[in-house]
Amino acid sequence: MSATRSLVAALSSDLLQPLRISDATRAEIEKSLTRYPNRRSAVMPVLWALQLEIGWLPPAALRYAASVVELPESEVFGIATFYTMFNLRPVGRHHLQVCMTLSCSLMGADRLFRHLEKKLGIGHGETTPDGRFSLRRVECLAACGGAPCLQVNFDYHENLDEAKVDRLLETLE
Amino acid sequence: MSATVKVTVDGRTIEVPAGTLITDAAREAEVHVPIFCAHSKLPPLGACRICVVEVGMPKLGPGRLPVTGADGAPEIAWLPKVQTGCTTTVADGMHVRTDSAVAVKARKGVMEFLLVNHPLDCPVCDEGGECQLQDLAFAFGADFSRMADAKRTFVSEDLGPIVKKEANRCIVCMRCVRYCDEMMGDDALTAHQRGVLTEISSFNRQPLECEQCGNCIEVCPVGALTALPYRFKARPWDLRQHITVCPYCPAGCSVRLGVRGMEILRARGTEFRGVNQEYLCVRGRFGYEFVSSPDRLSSPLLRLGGSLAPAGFDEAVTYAAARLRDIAAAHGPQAIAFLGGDKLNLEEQYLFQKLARGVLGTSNVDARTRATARLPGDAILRATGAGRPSLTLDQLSRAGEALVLGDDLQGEAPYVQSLLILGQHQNGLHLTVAHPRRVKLARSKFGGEWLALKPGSELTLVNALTAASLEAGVPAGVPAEVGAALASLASALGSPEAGARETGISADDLRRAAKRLCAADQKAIVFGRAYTEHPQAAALVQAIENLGWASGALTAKRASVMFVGPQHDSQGALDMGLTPDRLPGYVDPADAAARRPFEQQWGAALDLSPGLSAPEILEAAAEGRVKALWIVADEWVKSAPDRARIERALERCELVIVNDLFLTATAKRAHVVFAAASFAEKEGVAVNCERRLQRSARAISPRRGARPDGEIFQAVARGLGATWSYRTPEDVFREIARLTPGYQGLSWAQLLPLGPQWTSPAPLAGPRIAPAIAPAAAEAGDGLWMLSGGTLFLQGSLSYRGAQLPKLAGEARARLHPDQAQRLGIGDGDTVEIAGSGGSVTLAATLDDAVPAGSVFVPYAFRECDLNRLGAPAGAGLRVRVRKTAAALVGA
Repeated sequence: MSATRSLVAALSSDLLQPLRISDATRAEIEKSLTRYPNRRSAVMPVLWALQLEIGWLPPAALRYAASVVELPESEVFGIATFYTMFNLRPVGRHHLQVCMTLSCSLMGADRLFRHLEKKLGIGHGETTPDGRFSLRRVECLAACGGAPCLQVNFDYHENLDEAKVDRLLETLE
Repeated sequence: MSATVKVTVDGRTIEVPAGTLITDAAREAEVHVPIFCAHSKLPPLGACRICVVEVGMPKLGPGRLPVTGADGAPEIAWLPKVQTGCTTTVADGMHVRTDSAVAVKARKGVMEFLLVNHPLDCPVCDEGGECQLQDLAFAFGADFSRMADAKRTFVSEDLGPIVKKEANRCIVCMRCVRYCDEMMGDDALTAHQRGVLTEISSFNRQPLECEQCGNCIEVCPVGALTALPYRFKARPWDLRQHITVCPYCPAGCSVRLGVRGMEILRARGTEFRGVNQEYLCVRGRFGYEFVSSPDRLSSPLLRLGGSLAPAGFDEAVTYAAARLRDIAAAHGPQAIAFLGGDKLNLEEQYLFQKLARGVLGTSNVDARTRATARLPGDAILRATGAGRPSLTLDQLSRAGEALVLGDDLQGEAPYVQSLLILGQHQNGLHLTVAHPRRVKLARSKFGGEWLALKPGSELTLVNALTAASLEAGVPAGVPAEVGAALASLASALGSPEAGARETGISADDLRRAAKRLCAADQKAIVFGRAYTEHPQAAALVQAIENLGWASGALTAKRASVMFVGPQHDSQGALDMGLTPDRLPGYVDPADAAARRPFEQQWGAALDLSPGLSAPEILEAAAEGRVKALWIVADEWVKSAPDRARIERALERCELVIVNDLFLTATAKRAHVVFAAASFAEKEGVAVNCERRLQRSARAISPRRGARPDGEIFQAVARGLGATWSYRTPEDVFREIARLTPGYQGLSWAQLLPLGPQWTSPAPLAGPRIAPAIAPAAAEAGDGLWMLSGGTLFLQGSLSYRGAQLPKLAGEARARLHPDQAQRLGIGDGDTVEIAGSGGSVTLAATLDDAVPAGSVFVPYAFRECDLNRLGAPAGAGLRVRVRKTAAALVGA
């Protein structure tokens, strides 16, 4: 029944840019919905599948996710903001995600982050005007052994300092 | 496990039911345990930790015997760490300390954390002065902060027109999120982000898509959520607080009005007070604005030379009394009729009918608004159990099964809707909603069953449910004569299959719904104006009585059928005899012994003929048989079923008297208009839908020139020669309590919020089981069914007079199912003309899949269109034709 409600809400919403989802993603979503006893449990894989396809999670995608997992839209929005791996704004070609949790913080993550801010001229959650880099503080990347850690899109770069980061950035077009 | 346990809080030993939370036990022991996140309507959470206390149990020695100290008292083994009082239940022998060094230190530590990021903006915060955080910081907090770093900050947001959010002040207790989810069923709010960055907001930070009830503001223990309409208007210590009963719906919520000078600045609920506790709906919270409208009448008006002109009160009274006397003398008292009164207080209702019956000698008195059909005066009484102890609202939310018939409770009684949602979620209540539209309760996120009946098949549905209930036999415990009547009714009703065809609900679904109702230990049937204002009202109410007995909702001892009337005191109007055929207390005027106390008190011989009902009064007036009409506090011109008829009636009457706060369309056609006082300007009792009598306080003096309706009735009665000398509503109530069956023994002093329920020591009417058959009517044509109903934001003519409610309601639209609209070539936003037998209205269309195909829904909307222009309903409802029109919107 919440599917109906969300659909009505989506139809009447000015936010609905047409949400185009490939058949592969749709299949992926269908598959994750059958993986758990409750549909709502699939909210994370569904959001992830949508983000993989679109690159970020526009409001229309969140509404769509809410309708398929039968959760309130507000709750899905809360979930998407809770996890730093979900992007609620478009991101650049290279999404620099600096781990700020304890081990990385002790090993100089703050310094590294400030260096990136200065070098790229953007702050947390921002994207360079050329769309090349986005910068974000994130929660634990589970790479404490290699702290401080920076995730660029899906790749980890560990044991970093300013010089290493500078060299890394040059390789990212 | 024993039913009660002994627990000692700060040295005070009390006995409380097992399972009580420490915080509740402490309240019982009159020990203050601070609370932020816990709420009486929400399950324990333990988010804020401010309620930490030290907990211990008696130390046990060998043989599990308590160890006693030197003084003979048991030694207590205190737990090494403090516990949250709001999540820990008491155990027998438990000791709780809130004032020990450990507890005080722990609380102080929690307080310091809560204040880490809280701004020091109390002087500009609306909550200042009544803020729990401020109070506790004053009581337990340190007088300095050890935090050297900058506080984290958020941007303030307006979440729609009602809610202002200052997230910096938020302590993330989650009360607002949970209340919205569990009580309102709306999920409009949620927590964003995590940890120290957690912030409460809406989906994508958009304006809240919800009931705009403002309960999130009410439950917020700090100033994080405040009301935009009240922002920066007053400080709480400048306000006088008065508890009144909300004038809108029959739930009877207690409203705490905050008054400065002569102006009402806000309305709030109060936790642990009233039927509603903190809950208020959007009308209760923002609907008081009409009281201070500049459009209020400031003096009586008299029609002189064709137009209404201001007049003195005495002048208006003398004129009204003289004309009434003349008309009674010339045409007999039966040429006079009284209409309205659901919105009056109980005492005023009593005086209104006493004036008609006791002074003028007419029994043409009827209160039911939008009356479409005559309904016997005791029909609703019998359907709801004839004065047996009736269901309370609390029991309603704890029932196993509740059947809601016909009403959209979101519009008619929002608090009743919320209690059902709460019951579903917290008490395992199963809900069955029979409504042609998919109303909010029919799509509750907590489940339940929607019986999507075809419009016009209401009577068939109730009869089919009765038939299905009786398939399992007559329920045990009904009186013998009822049992026999039910058995013969069963054979008359036939099988549910016949009903299935007409209602569009499968016989299996009907059987399942009936079975759930019959099987539930605690059950409830709820009905309201959708049925009592139905053209087949008399048959429908009889059908509900049949279903009540057949399903076991009515038994010899208890009644579990609730009537949710159209106005806040509709129940009082029935009890006070604002019906043509019943005196106060449902006394049949034909019963000489029962009517004698009234005749003696009133000093008059009563007119024994059953008077005319509201539709009959209007018909008689239109035909010239009724010459004088007194209409009280209602917009009859716009709400009576047949516009042409009421206009003709008012035109032909020699005398029309209207009491109202405003110059309504009805008042404009009157000869005498009395300026009436509003609910906040008078004291009086109202009876809510659980038949609870609650007295509301006078918050402000009446607007200059306006008088309470009771005073107006008394002045006219004296002008007619009666010797009434009531000084206060209390005097009237004493007379009611002396004369009225069911009210005997009630005293004014006990009628505060959560006053006693009205029940009679003996049922006031015997059960009547009879086949409920509507008179066969000519089929009202093909066309679409015209569906209408109350809406959340507007109820009655008063709700249009404020600023907030009309703004929230927006423009009324004709709602059509997308498929239906497509067949008619109508798109979203198109202008459509709705035409009935009597006339047409024009308004914009909206596509809505909650409305069934084959019908069109327009809410009661006095501003945009007067639906009674469409003509009188016939058969089971009104049929209309809908077509797209190019014409510009024309206001009615």
